[in-house]
Amino acid sequence: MQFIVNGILAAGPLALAGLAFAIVARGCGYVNLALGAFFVVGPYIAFALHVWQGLPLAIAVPVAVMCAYLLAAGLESTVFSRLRAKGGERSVLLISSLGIYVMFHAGINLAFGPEVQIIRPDGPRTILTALGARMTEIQLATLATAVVVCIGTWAVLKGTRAGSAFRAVAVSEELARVVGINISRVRLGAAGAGAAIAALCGCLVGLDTDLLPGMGLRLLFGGLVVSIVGGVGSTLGILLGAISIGLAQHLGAWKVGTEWQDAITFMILLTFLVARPEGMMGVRSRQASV
Amino acid sequence: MEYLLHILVLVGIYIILSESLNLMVGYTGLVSLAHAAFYGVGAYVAALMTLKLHSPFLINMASAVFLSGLLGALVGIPSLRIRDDYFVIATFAFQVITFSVLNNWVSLTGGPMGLVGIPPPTVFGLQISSPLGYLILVAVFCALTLWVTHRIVRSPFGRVLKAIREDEVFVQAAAKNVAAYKVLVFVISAGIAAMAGVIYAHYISFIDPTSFTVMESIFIISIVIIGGSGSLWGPVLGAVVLVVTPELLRFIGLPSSVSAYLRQMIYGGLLVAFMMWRPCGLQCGYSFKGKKNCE
Repeated sequence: MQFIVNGILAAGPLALAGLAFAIVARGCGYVNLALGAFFVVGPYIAFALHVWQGLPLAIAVPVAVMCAYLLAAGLESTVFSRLRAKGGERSVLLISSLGIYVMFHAGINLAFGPEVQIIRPDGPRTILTALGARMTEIQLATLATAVVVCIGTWAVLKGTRAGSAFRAVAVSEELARVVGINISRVRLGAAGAGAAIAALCGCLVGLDTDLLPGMGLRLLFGGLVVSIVGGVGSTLGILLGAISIGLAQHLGAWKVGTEWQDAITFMILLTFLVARPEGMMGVRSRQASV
Repeated sequence: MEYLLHILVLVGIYIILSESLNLMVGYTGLVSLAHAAFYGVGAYVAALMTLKLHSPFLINMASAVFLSGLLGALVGIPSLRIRDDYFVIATFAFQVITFSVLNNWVSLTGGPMGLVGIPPPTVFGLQISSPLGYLILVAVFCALTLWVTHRIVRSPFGRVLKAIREDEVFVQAAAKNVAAYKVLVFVISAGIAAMAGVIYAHYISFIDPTSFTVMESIFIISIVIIGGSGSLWGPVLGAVVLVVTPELLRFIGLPSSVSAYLRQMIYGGLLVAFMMWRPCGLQCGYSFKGKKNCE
Protein backbone atom coordinates (compact mmCIF):
# COMPACT_ATOMS: atom_id res chain seq x y z
CA MET A 1 0.00 0.00 0.00
CA GLN A 2 2.87 2.31 0.85
CA PHE A 3 4.21 1.68 -2.62
CA ILE A 4 0.96 2.58 -4.33
CA VAL A 5 0.76 5.79 -2.37
CA ASN A 6 4.41 6.50 -3.12
CA GLY A 7 3.70 5.93 -6.77
CA ILE A 8 0.85 8.39 -6.84
CA LEU A 9 2.84 10.95 -4.87
CA ALA A 10 5.72 10.52 -7.30
CA ALA A 11 3.34 11.55 -10.04
CA GLY A 12 3.39 15.09 -8.66
CA PRO A 13 6.88 16.12 -9.70
CA LEU A 14 6.68 13.86 -12.75
CA ALA A 15 3.58 15.63 -13.99
CA LEU A 16 5.17 19.04 -13.52
CA ALA A 17 8.30 17.87 -15.28
CA GLY A 18 6.29 16.35 -18.10
CA LEU A 19 4.29 19.52 -18.53
CA ALA A 20 7.44 21.64 -18.62
CA PHE A 21 9.01 19.42 -21.23
CA ALA A 22 5.89 19.20 -23.37
CA ILE A 23 5.37 22.96 -23.37
CA VAL A 24 8.89 23.57 -24.55
CA ALA A 25 8.87 20.72 -27.06
CA ARG A 26 5.60 21.77 -28.64
CA GLY A 27 6.11 25.49 -28.44
CA CYS A 28 9.66 25.62 -29.71
CA GLY A 29 9.43 22.67 -32.00
CA TYR A 30 12.28 20.49 -30.86
CA VAL A 31 13.56 18.42 -27.97
CA ASN A 32 15.21 20.91 -25.68
CA LEU A 33 17.55 19.29 -23.21
CA ALA A 34 18.68 22.62 -21.82
CA LEU A 35 15.44 22.50 -19.85
CA GLY A 36 17.27 20.10 -17.58
CA ALA A 37 19.30 23.06 -16.44
CA PHE A 38 16.24 24.84 -15.06
CA PHE A 39 15.18 21.91 -12.93
CA VAL A 40 18.41 22.39 -11.05
CA VAL A 41 19.12 26.11 -11.46
CA GLY A 42 15.72 27.02 -9.99
CA PRO A 43 16.19 25.27 -6.68
CA TYR A 44 19.80 26.41 -6.34
CA ILE A 45 18.82 30.03 -6.85
CA ALA A 46 16.13 29.59 -4.23
CA PHE A 47 18.71 27.95 -2.00
CA ALA A 48 21.12 30.84 -2.45
CA LEU A 49 18.41 33.36 -1.70
CA HIS A 50 17.00 31.52 1.27
CA VAL A 51 20.04 30.06 2.98
CA TRP A 52 22.73 32.51 2.01
CA GLN A 53 20.75 35.73 1.93
CA GLY A 54 18.14 34.82 4.48
CA LEU A 55 15.09 35.59 2.40
CA PRO A 56 12.01 33.63 3.40
CA LEU A 57 11.03 30.73 1.19
CA ALA A 58 7.80 32.38 0.18
CA ILE A 59 9.90 34.99 -1.60
CA ALA A 60 12.88 32.87 -2.60
CA VAL A 61 10.93 30.31 -4.57
CA PRO A 62 8.88 32.69 -6.73
CA VAL A 63 11.98 34.77 -7.41
CA ALA A 64 13.82 31.65 -8.50
CA VAL A 65 10.94 30.74 -10.78
CA MET A 66 10.96 34.22 -12.30
CA CYS A 67 14.71 34.01 -12.84
CA ALA A 68 14.27 30.71 -14.63
CA TYR A 69 11.63 32.23 -16.89
CA LEU A 70 13.84 35.17 -17.79
CA LEU A 71 16.93 33.04 -18.26
CA ALA A 72 15.14 30.66 -20.57
CA ALA A 73 13.58 33.43 -22.59
CA GLY A 74 17.01 35.02 -22.84
CA LEU A 75 18.61 31.82 -24.07
CA GLU A 76 15.83 31.28 -26.55
CA SER A 77 16.11 34.74 -28.01
CA THR A 78 19.88 34.71 -28.29
CA VAL A 79 21.30 31.26 -28.77
CA PHE A 80 18.45 29.30 -30.16
CA SER A 81 16.98 31.86 -32.50
CA ARG A 82 20.42 32.35 -33.92
CA LEU A 83 20.82 28.65 -34.48
CA ARG A 84 17.43 28.52 -36.08
CA ALA A 85 18.16 31.45 -38.33
CA LYS A 86 21.13 29.62 -39.72
CA GLY A 87 18.82 26.88 -40.84
CA GLY A 88 19.55 24.45 -38.07
CA GLU A 89 17.57 21.29 -38.07
CA ARG A 90 16.36 19.54 -34.99
CA SER A 91 19.63 17.70 -34.33
CA VAL A 92 21.59 20.94 -34.23
CA LEU A 93 19.26 22.47 -31.67
CA LEU A 94 19.24 19.32 -29.62
CA ILE A 95 23.00 19.03 -29.55
CA SER A 96 23.37 22.68 -28.63
CA SER A 97 20.84 22.28 -25.86
CA LEU A 98 22.98 19.43 -24.58
CA GLY A 99 25.95 21.75 -24.55
CA ILE A 100 24.01 24.33 -22.60
CA TYR A 101 22.87 21.78 -20.08
CA VAL A 102 26.45 20.57 -19.55
CA MET A 103 27.61 24.13 -19.00
CA PHE A 104 24.95 24.82 -16.40
CA HIS A 105 25.55 21.52 -14.67
CA ALA A 106 29.26 22.23 -14.42
CA GLY A 107 28.53 25.77 -13.30
CA ILE A 108 26.29 24.62 -10.47
CA ASN A 109 28.94 22.15 -9.36
CA LEU A 110 31.55 24.88 -9.36
CA ALA A 111 29.40 27.40 -7.55
CA PHE A 112 27.78 25.17 -4.97
CA GLY A 113 29.84 22.03 -4.83
CA PRO A 114 28.75 18.47 -5.57
CA GLU A 115 27.56 17.66 -2.08
CA VAL A 116 23.95 17.61 -1.02
CA GLN A 117 22.58 20.99 -0.03
CA ILE A 118 19.67 21.26 2.34
CA ILE A 119 17.28 24.04 1.66
CA ARG A 120 15.16 23.50 4.74
CA PRO A 121 17.58 23.20 7.60
CA ASP A 122 14.84 23.42 10.20
CA GLY A 123 14.42 19.79 11.12
CA PRO A 124 12.70 16.78 9.60
CA ARG A 125 9.54 17.07 7.59
CA THR A 126 6.13 16.52 9.08
CA ILE A 127 5.12 12.98 8.40
CA LEU A 128 1.44 12.29 7.95
CA THR A 129 -0.17 8.92 8.01
CA ALA A 130 -3.22 8.28 5.92
CA LEU A 131 -4.64 5.38 3.96
CA GLY A 132 -2.19 3.11 5.70
CA ALA A 133 0.85 4.85 4.26
CA ARG A 134 3.30 7.53 5.28
CA MET A 135 3.96 10.70 3.36
CA THR A 136 5.35 14.15 3.91
CA GLU A 137 3.35 17.34 3.56
CA ILE A 138 5.69 18.47 0.82
CA GLN A 139 4.85 15.47 -1.30
CA LEU A 140 1.15 16.21 -0.95
CA ALA A 141 1.74 19.86 -1.70
CA THR A 142 3.71 18.93 -4.81
CA LEU A 143 0.96 16.66 -6.04
CA ALA A 144 -1.62 19.34 -5.41
CA THR A 145 0.52 21.93 -7.17
CA ALA A 146 0.95 19.61 -10.10
CA VAL A 147 -2.77 19.11 -10.49
CA VAL A 148 -3.43 22.83 -10.17
CA VAL A 149 -0.75 23.73 -12.69
CA CYS A 150 -1.97 21.11 -15.13
CA ILE A 151 -5.55 22.32 -14.91
CA GLY A 152 -4.37 25.89 -15.14
CA THR A 153 -2.28 25.15 -18.23
CA TRP A 154 -5.15 23.35 -19.85
CA ALA A 155 -7.41 26.31 -19.15
CA VAL A 156 -4.89 28.78 -20.53
CA LEU A 157 -4.37 26.72 -23.66
CA LYS A 158 -8.05 26.35 -24.34
CA GLY A 159 -9.31 29.70 -23.18
CA THR A 160 -6.85 32.46 -23.89
CA ARG A 161 -5.53 33.95 -27.11
CA ALA A 162 -1.99 33.20 -26.08
CA GLY A 163 -3.02 29.62 -25.54
CA SER A 164 -4.57 29.37 -28.96
CA ALA A 165 -1.50 30.93 -30.53
CA PHE A 166 0.63 28.35 -28.77
CA ARG A 167 -1.52 25.50 -29.98
CA ALA A 168 -1.41 26.86 -33.51
CA VAL A 169 2.38 27.01 -33.50
CA ALA A 170 2.56 23.54 -32.01
CA VAL A 171 0.49 22.09 -34.82
CA SER A 172 2.02 23.90 -37.75
CA GLU A 173 4.51 26.72 -37.59
CA GLU A 174 4.11 27.69 -41.20
CA LEU A 175 0.37 27.99 -41.07
CA ALA A 176 0.60 29.92 -37.82
CA ARG A 177 2.94 32.37 -39.49
CA VAL A 178 0.52 32.74 -42.39
CA VAL A 179 -2.30 33.58 -40.03
CA GLY A 180 -0.15 36.30 -38.53
CA ILE A 181 0.87 34.83 -35.23
CA ASN A 182 4.12 36.15 -33.81
CA ILE A 183 6.11 32.95 -33.72
CA SER A 184 9.10 34.23 -31.81
CA ARG A 185 6.87 35.63 -29.10
CA VAL A 186 5.15 32.26 -28.72
CA ARG A 187 8.54 30.59 -28.56
CA LEU A 188 9.82 32.97 -25.90
CA GLY A 189 6.70 32.41 -23.87
CA ALA A 190 6.88 28.66 -24.24
CA ALA A 191 10.55 28.49 -23.31
CA GLY A 192 9.97 30.74 -20.35
CA ALA A 193 6.85 28.94 -19.14
CA GLY A 194 8.49 25.57 -19.45
CA ALA A 195 11.53 26.74 -17.54
CA ALA A 196 9.37 28.35 -14.85
CA ILE A 197 7.43 25.15 -14.30
CA ALA A 198 10.66 23.20 -14.30
CA ALA A 199 12.15 25.51 -11.69
CA LEU A 200 9.02 25.18 -9.57
CA CYS A 201 9.21 21.42 -9.87
CA GLY A 202 12.85 21.47 -8.89
CA CYS A 203 12.20 23.69 -5.88
CA LEU A 204 9.42 21.46 -4.62
CA VAL A 205 11.50 18.33 -5.07
CA GLY A 206 14.42 20.08 -3.42
CA LEU A 207 12.29 20.96 -0.43
CA ASP A 208 11.43 17.32 -0.06
CA THR A 209 14.65 15.53 -0.86
CA ASP A 210 17.38 18.20 -0.80
CA LEU A 211 19.51 19.50 -3.63
CA LEU A 212 22.05 17.69 -5.71
CA PRO A 213 23.58 18.98 -8.94
CA GLY A 214 22.52 15.81 -10.72
CA MET A 215 18.84 16.34 -10.03
CA GLY A 216 18.36 18.32 -13.22
CA LEU A 217 18.98 15.48 -15.60
CA ARG A 218 16.96 13.05 -13.51
CA LEU A 219 13.91 15.29 -13.42
CA LEU A 220 14.27 16.21 -17.08
CA PHE A 221 14.21 12.63 -18.17
CA GLY A 222 11.37 11.85 -15.88
CA GLY A 223 9.51 14.65 -17.62
CA LEU A 224 10.54 13.41 -21.01
CA VAL A 225 9.33 9.89 -20.34
CA VAL A 226 6.06 11.14 -18.93
CA SER A 227 5.33 13.42 -21.84
CA ILE A 228 6.12 10.77 -24.42
CA VAL A 229 4.20 8.05 -22.61
CA GLY A 230 1.29 10.30 -21.84
CA GLY A 231 1.17 11.95 -25.21
CA VAL A 232 2.90 15.24 -25.92
CA GLY A 233 -0.22 16.93 -27.18
CA SER A 234 -2.49 16.37 -24.22
CA THR A 235 -2.44 17.83 -20.70
CA LEU A 236 -4.65 15.06 -19.42
CA GLY A 237 -2.29 12.61 -21.05
CA ILE A 238 0.59 14.05 -19.07
CA LEU A 239 -1.26 13.63 -15.79
CA LEU A 240 -2.19 10.07 -16.70
CA GLY A 241 1.32 9.41 -17.87
CA ALA A 242 2.76 10.77 -14.64
CA ILE A 243 0.53 8.57 -12.52
CA SER A 244 1.33 5.52 -14.62
CA ILE A 245 5.05 6.07 -14.54
CA GLY A 246 5.01 6.91 -10.85
CA LEU A 247 3.12 3.74 -10.05
CA ALA A 248 5.28 1.66 -12.36
CA GLN A 249 8.43 3.01 -10.76
CA HIS A 250 7.38 2.29 -7.22
CA LEU A 251 5.61 -0.99 -7.79
CA GLY A 252 8.60 -2.04 -9.82
CA ALA A 253 10.85 -1.00 -6.96
CA TRP A 254 8.78 -3.12 -4.65
CA LYS A 255 9.15 -6.15 -6.89
CA VAL A 256 12.75 -5.95 -8.06
CA GLY A 257 14.38 -3.35 -5.86
CA THR A 258 14.73 0.39 -5.99
CA GLU A 259 18.03 0.37 -7.83
CA TRP A 260 16.26 -0.75 -10.99
CA GLN A 261 13.86 2.20 -11.04
CA ASP A 262 15.67 4.07 -13.79
CA ALA A 263 15.98 0.99 -15.94
CA ILE A 264 12.26 0.27 -15.58
CA THR A 265 11.34 3.83 -16.47
CA PHE A 266 13.46 3.80 -19.59
CA MET A 267 12.30 0.38 -20.70
CA ILE A 268 8.76 1.73 -20.60
CA LEU A 269 9.94 4.71 -22.64
CA LEU A 270 11.58 2.48 -25.23
CA THR A 271 8.47 0.35 -25.51
CA PHE A 272 6.33 3.38 -26.13
CA LEU A 273 8.78 4.90 -28.59
CA VAL A 274 8.75 1.77 -30.67
CA ALA A 275 5.15 0.67 -30.32
CA ARG A 276 3.15 3.81 -29.69
CA PRO A 277 5.18 6.98 -30.16
CA GLU A 278 2.20 9.23 -29.83
CA GLY A 279 1.70 8.14 -26.24
CA MET A 280 -1.46 7.16 -24.48
CA MET A 281 -3.57 10.15 -25.34
CA GLY A 282 -1.77 11.42 -28.38
CA VAL A 283 -2.81 11.54 -31.96
CA ARG A 284 -0.81 9.64 -34.52
CA SER A 285 0.88 12.08 -36.85
CA ARG A 286 1.93 11.21 -40.32
CA GLN A 287 5.65 11.20 -40.90
CA ALA A 288 7.74 9.93 -43.72
CA SER A 289 9.65 7.19 -42.06
CA VAL A 290 11.58 4.19 -43.20
CA MET B 1 57.56 12.04 -19.98
CA GLU B 2 55.28 9.46 -18.44
CA TYR B 3 52.61 12.09 -18.15
CA LEU B 4 52.89 12.83 -21.83
CA LEU B 5 52.60 9.14 -22.67
CA HIS B 6 49.53 8.91 -20.45
CA ILE B 7 47.87 11.78 -22.31
CA LEU B 8 48.70 10.19 -25.65
CA VAL B 9 47.18 6.89 -24.58
CA LEU B 10 43.98 8.69 -23.59
CA VAL B 11 43.95 10.57 -26.87
CA GLY B 12 44.32 7.27 -28.66
CA ILE B 13 41.39 5.72 -26.81
CA TYR B 14 39.21 8.69 -27.63
CA ILE B 15 40.26 8.62 -31.27
CA ILE B 16 38.95 5.06 -31.49
CA LEU B 17 35.72 6.07 -29.74
CA SER B 18 35.11 9.16 -31.78
CA GLU B 19 35.95 7.64 -35.14
CA SER B 20 33.47 4.88 -34.49
CA LEU B 21 30.80 7.32 -33.40
CA ASN B 22 31.60 9.43 -36.43
CA LEU B 23 30.51 6.56 -38.65
CA MET B 24 27.07 6.90 -37.17
CA VAL B 25 26.77 10.62 -36.57
CA GLY B 26 28.91 12.12 -39.30
CA TYR B 27 28.40 9.71 -42.14
CA THR B 28 24.94 8.28 -41.56
CA GLY B 29 23.42 11.21 -39.73
CA LEU B 30 22.27 9.21 -36.72
CA VAL B 31 22.89 11.08 -33.47
CA SER B 32 23.53 8.53 -30.76
CA LEU B 33 24.02 9.12 -27.04
CA ALA B 34 24.59 5.44 -26.35
CA HIS B 35 28.25 5.22 -27.25
CA ALA B 36 29.51 5.14 -23.69
CA ALA B 37 27.35 2.07 -23.20
CA PHE B 38 29.21 0.13 -25.91
CA TYR B 39 32.50 1.44 -24.59
CA GLY B 40 31.54 0.18 -21.14
CA VAL B 41 30.33 -3.19 -22.37
CA GLY B 42 33.63 -3.71 -24.14
CA ALA B 43 35.55 -2.83 -21.01
CA TYR B 44 33.48 -5.06 -18.75
CA VAL B 45 33.52 -8.06 -21.09
CA ALA B 46 37.29 -7.90 -21.38
CA ALA B 47 37.76 -7.37 -17.66
CA LEU B 48 35.45 -10.23 -16.71
CA MET B 49 37.02 -12.59 -19.19
CA THR B 50 40.54 -11.78 -18.03
CA LEU B 51 39.65 -12.00 -14.36
CA LYS B 52 37.40 -15.02 -14.39
CA LEU B 53 38.55 -17.05 -17.39
CA HIS B 54 42.15 -15.90 -17.77
CA SER B 55 41.70 -16.09 -21.52
CA PRO B 56 44.21 -14.50 -23.87
CA PHE B 57 43.96 -10.85 -24.77
CA LEU B 58 43.02 -11.24 -28.40
CA ILE B 59 40.22 -13.66 -27.59
CA ASN B 60 38.89 -11.15 -25.06
CA MET B 61 39.12 -8.40 -27.62
CA ALA B 62 37.26 -10.43 -30.20
CA SER B 63 34.54 -11.41 -27.74
CA ALA B 64 34.11 -7.85 -26.54
CA VAL B 65 33.79 -6.59 -30.10
CA PHE B 66 31.37 -9.36 -30.98
CA LEU B 67 29.13 -8.91 -27.93
CA SER B 68 29.11 -5.16 -28.29
CA GLY B 69 28.19 -5.49 -31.94
CA LEU B 70 25.37 -7.83 -30.99
CA LEU B 71 24.15 -5.25 -28.51
CA GLY B 72 24.39 -2.67 -31.26
CA ALA B 73 22.09 -4.78 -33.39
CA LEU B 74 19.69 -5.26 -30.51
CA VAL B 75 19.51 -1.52 -30.04
CA GLY B 76 19.52 -0.70 -33.71
CA ILE B 77 16.69 -2.88 -34.87
CA PRO B 78 13.87 -1.42 -32.79
CA SER B 79 15.31 2.06 -33.14
CA LEU B 80 14.82 2.02 -36.87
CA ARG B 81 11.19 2.91 -36.64
CA ILE B 82 11.83 5.94 -34.47
CA ARG B 83 12.17 9.38 -35.99
CA ASP B 84 15.23 11.64 -35.62
CA ASP B 85 14.95 13.46 -32.31
CA TYR B 86 13.15 10.61 -30.63
CA PHE B 87 15.90 8.33 -31.88
CA VAL B 88 18.37 10.32 -29.80
CA ILE B 89 16.12 9.89 -26.79
CA ALA B 90 15.91 6.17 -27.45
CA THR B 91 19.70 5.89 -27.53
CA PHE B 92 19.81 7.85 -24.32
CA ALA B 93 17.31 5.45 -22.77
CA PHE B 94 19.46 2.55 -23.83
CA GLN B 95 22.52 4.22 -22.35
CA VAL B 96 20.79 4.65 -18.98
CA ILE B 97 19.53 1.08 -18.99
CA THR B 98 23.02 -0.25 -19.70
CA PHE B 99 24.48 1.90 -16.96
CA SER B 100 21.81 0.58 -14.60
CA VAL B 101 22.71 -2.99 -15.43
CA LEU B 102 26.42 -2.35 -14.95
CA ASN B 103 25.77 -0.57 -11.70
CA ASN B 104 23.21 -2.91 -10.19
CA TRP B 105 24.03 -6.43 -11.33
CA VAL B 106 26.45 -6.68 -8.47
CA SER B 107 27.15 -10.38 -8.70
CA LEU B 108 28.42 -10.05 -12.24
CA THR B 109 29.87 -6.57 -12.52
CA GLY B 110 30.74 -5.72 -8.94
CA GLY B 111 28.17 -2.94 -9.04
CA PRO B 112 29.36 0.51 -8.05
CA MET B 113 32.59 -0.93 -6.72
CA GLY B 114 33.55 -2.12 -10.16
CA LEU B 115 36.23 -4.59 -11.05
CA VAL B 116 39.75 -4.28 -9.74
CA GLY B 117 43.08 -5.79 -10.42
CA ILE B 118 42.74 -6.24 -14.16
CA PRO B 119 46.10 -7.70 -15.22
CA PRO B 120 48.13 -6.22 -18.07
CA PRO B 121 47.51 -7.89 -21.40
CA THR B 122 49.90 -10.29 -23.07
CA VAL B 123 49.98 -10.04 -26.83
CA PHE B 124 52.01 -12.58 -28.77
CA GLY B 125 53.97 -13.45 -25.65
CA LEU B 126 54.90 -9.86 -24.84
CA GLN B 127 53.45 -8.46 -21.69
CA ILE B 128 52.36 -4.87 -22.00
CA SER B 129 52.76 -3.02 -18.75
CA SER B 130 54.77 0.12 -19.40
CA PRO B 131 53.14 3.33 -20.59
CA LEU B 132 55.12 3.11 -23.80
CA GLY B 133 53.83 -0.41 -24.33
CA TYR B 134 50.26 0.77 -23.95
CA LEU B 135 50.89 3.65 -26.30
CA ILE B 136 52.05 1.25 -28.98
CA LEU B 137 49.01 -0.96 -28.36
CA VAL B 138 46.66 1.99 -28.63
CA ALA B 139 48.43 3.27 -31.71
CA VAL B 140 48.02 -0.07 -33.41
CA PHE B 141 44.31 -0.11 -32.72
CA CYS B 142 43.94 3.51 -33.73
CA ALA B 143 45.56 2.72 -37.02
CA LEU B 144 43.24 -0.24 -37.42
CA THR B 145 40.21 1.92 -36.67
CA LEU B 146 41.26 4.62 -39.09
CA TRP B 147 41.93 2.04 -41.79
CA VAL B 148 38.55 0.38 -41.31
CA THR B 149 36.78 3.74 -41.28
CA HIS B 150 38.62 4.87 -44.37
CA ARG B 151 37.71 1.68 -46.23
CA ILE B 152 34.07 1.92 -45.22
CA VAL B 153 33.78 5.56 -46.20
CA ARG B 154 35.28 5.03 -49.62
CA SER B 155 33.23 1.94 -50.37
CA PRO B 156 29.79 1.66 -51.96
CA PHE B 157 28.49 0.88 -48.48
CA GLY B 158 29.84 4.22 -47.31
CA ARG B 159 28.22 6.05 -50.19
CA VAL B 160 24.84 4.66 -49.23
CA LEU B 161 25.43 5.78 -45.66
CA LYS B 162 26.12 9.32 -46.79
CA ALA B 163 23.04 9.19 -48.99
CA ILE B 164 20.96 8.15 -46.00
CA ARG B 165 22.29 11.15 -44.14
CA GLU B 166 21.24 13.45 -46.94
CA ASP B 167 17.82 12.08 -47.77
CA GLU B 168 16.56 8.89 -46.30
CA VAL B 169 13.33 8.66 -48.20
CA PHE B 170 15.13 9.05 -51.48
CA VAL B 171 17.44 6.17 -50.65
CA GLN B 172 14.47 4.02 -49.76
CA ALA B 173 12.92 4.90 -53.09
CA ALA B 174 16.13 3.86 -54.79
CA ALA B 175 15.39 0.37 -53.48
CA LYS B 176 18.14 0.21 -50.88
CA ASN B 177 17.28 -1.47 -47.61
CA VAL B 178 17.87 1.55 -45.40
CA ALA B 179 17.04 -0.36 -42.25
CA ALA B 180 19.73 -2.94 -42.92
CA TYR B 181 22.36 -0.26 -43.53
CA LYS B 182 21.47 1.53 -40.34
CA VAL B 183 21.68 -1.62 -38.26
CA LEU B 184 24.97 -2.54 -39.85
CA VAL B 185 26.57 0.80 -39.12
CA PHE B 186 25.29 0.58 -35.56
CA VAL B 187 26.91 -2.85 -35.19
CA ILE B 188 30.24 -1.75 -36.63
CA SER B 189 30.29 1.42 -34.58
CA ALA B 190 29.50 -0.47 -31.39
CA GLY B 191 32.12 -3.10 -32.07
CA ILE B 192 34.90 -0.56 -32.58
CA ALA B 193 33.87 1.30 -29.44
CA ALA B 194 34.25 -1.93 -27.52
CA MET B 195 37.89 -2.14 -28.66
CA ALA B 196 38.54 1.16 -26.92
CA GLY B 197 36.85 -0.21 -23.81
CA VAL B 198 39.08 -3.28 -23.75
CA ILE B 199 42.24 -1.19 -23.96
CA TYR B 200 40.94 1.18 -21.31
CA ALA B 201 40.15 -1.67 -18.91
CA HIS B 202 43.67 -3.08 -19.12
CA TYR B 203 45.33 0.30 -19.04
CA ILE B 204 43.63 1.65 -15.93
CA SER B 205 43.38 -1.88 -14.43
CA PHE B 206 40.23 -0.86 -12.61
CA ILE B 207 36.80 -0.09 -14.05
CA ASP B 208 33.56 1.07 -12.52
CA PRO B 209 30.26 2.21 -14.01
CA THR B 210 30.94 5.91 -13.46
CA SER B 211 33.33 5.96 -16.41
CA PHE B 212 30.51 4.97 -18.75
CA THR B 213 27.71 7.42 -18.10
CA VAL B 214 25.68 9.73 -20.30
CA MET B 215 28.18 12.50 -19.67
CA GLU B 216 30.81 10.33 -21.27
CA SER B 217 28.57 9.81 -24.30
CA ILE B 218 28.09 13.54 -24.53
CA PHE B 219 31.83 14.07 -24.33
CA ILE B 220 32.47 11.62 -27.17
CA ILE B 221 29.86 13.21 -29.36
CA SER B 222 31.39 16.61 -28.58
CA ILE B 223 34.70 15.33 -29.90
CA VAL B 224 33.04 14.23 -33.10
CA ILE B 225 31.18 17.47 -33.64
CA ILE B 226 33.92 19.87 -32.64
CA GLY B 227 36.58 17.92 -34.43
CA GLY B 228 34.56 17.65 -37.57
CA SER B 229 31.84 15.13 -38.20
CA GLY B 230 31.81 13.40 -41.51
CA SER B 231 35.52 13.75 -42.10
CA LEU B 232 38.17 11.15 -41.48
CA TRP B 233 40.67 13.23 -39.54
CA GLY B 234 38.16 15.46 -37.79
CA PRO B 235 37.63 13.19 -34.79
CA VAL B 236 41.40 12.80 -34.43
CA LEU B 237 41.74 16.56 -34.22
CA GLY B 238 38.80 16.73 -31.88
CA ALA B 239 40.21 14.08 -29.58
CA VAL B 240 43.52 15.90 -29.37
CA VAL B 241 41.88 19.24 -28.64
CA LEU B 242 39.33 18.03 -26.12
CA VAL B 243 41.65 15.73 -24.22
CA VAL B 244 44.72 17.96 -24.16
CA THR B 245 43.12 21.35 -23.46
CA PRO B 246 41.63 20.49 -20.07
CA GLU B 247 44.94 18.92 -19.04
CA LEU B 248 46.54 22.30 -19.62
CA LEU B 249 44.26 23.58 -16.88
CA ARG B 250 46.19 21.50 -14.42
CA PHE B 251 49.21 23.67 -14.90
CA ILE B 252 47.31 26.69 -13.68
CA GLY B 253 47.20 25.00 -10.33
CA LEU B 254 43.47 24.46 -9.89
CA PRO B 255 42.32 21.60 -7.64
CA SER B 256 41.26 18.62 -9.68
CA SER B 257 37.62 18.81 -8.64
CA VAL B 258 37.37 22.32 -9.98
CA SER B 259 39.25 21.52 -13.16
CA ALA B 260 36.92 18.60 -13.88
CA TYR B 261 33.89 20.88 -13.91
CA LEU B 262 35.74 23.59 -15.74
CA ARG B 263 36.54 21.02 -18.38
CA GLN B 264 32.82 20.27 -18.68
CA MET B 265 32.00 23.93 -19.04
CA ILE B 266 34.60 24.24 -21.74
CA TYR B 267 33.36 21.45 -23.93
CA GLY B 268 29.73 22.31 -23.30
CA GLY B 269 30.49 25.86 -24.34
CA LEU B 270 32.53 24.74 -27.34
CA LEU B 271 29.66 22.53 -28.42
CA VAL B 272 27.23 25.43 -28.41
CA ALA B 273 29.74 27.82 -29.97
CA PHE B 274 30.58 25.44 -32.79
CA MET B 275 26.94 24.70 -33.47
CA MET B 276 26.32 28.40 -33.76
CA TRP B 277 29.29 29.44 -35.84
CA ARG B 278 30.92 26.41 -37.42
CA PRO B 279 28.65 23.40 -37.30
CA CYS B 280 30.85 21.27 -39.45
CA GLY B 281 33.59 21.33 -36.84
CA LEU B 282 37.26 22.14 -37.07
CA GLN B 283 37.91 19.79 -39.95
CA CYS B 284 34.88 20.27 -42.10
CA GLY B 285 33.27 17.14 -43.35
CA TYR B 286 29.57 17.40 -43.12
CA SER B 287 27.73 20.49 -42.02
CA PHE B 288 24.66 19.74 -39.96
CA LYS B 289 22.88 22.83 -41.05
CA GLY B 290 21.70 22.91 -44.61
CA LYS B 291 22.86 19.98 -46.64
CA LYS B 292 26.31 21.23 -47.53
CA ASN B 293 28.84 18.50 -47.93
CA CYS B 294 32.35 19.87 -47.67
CA GLU B 295 34.13 16.67 -48.56
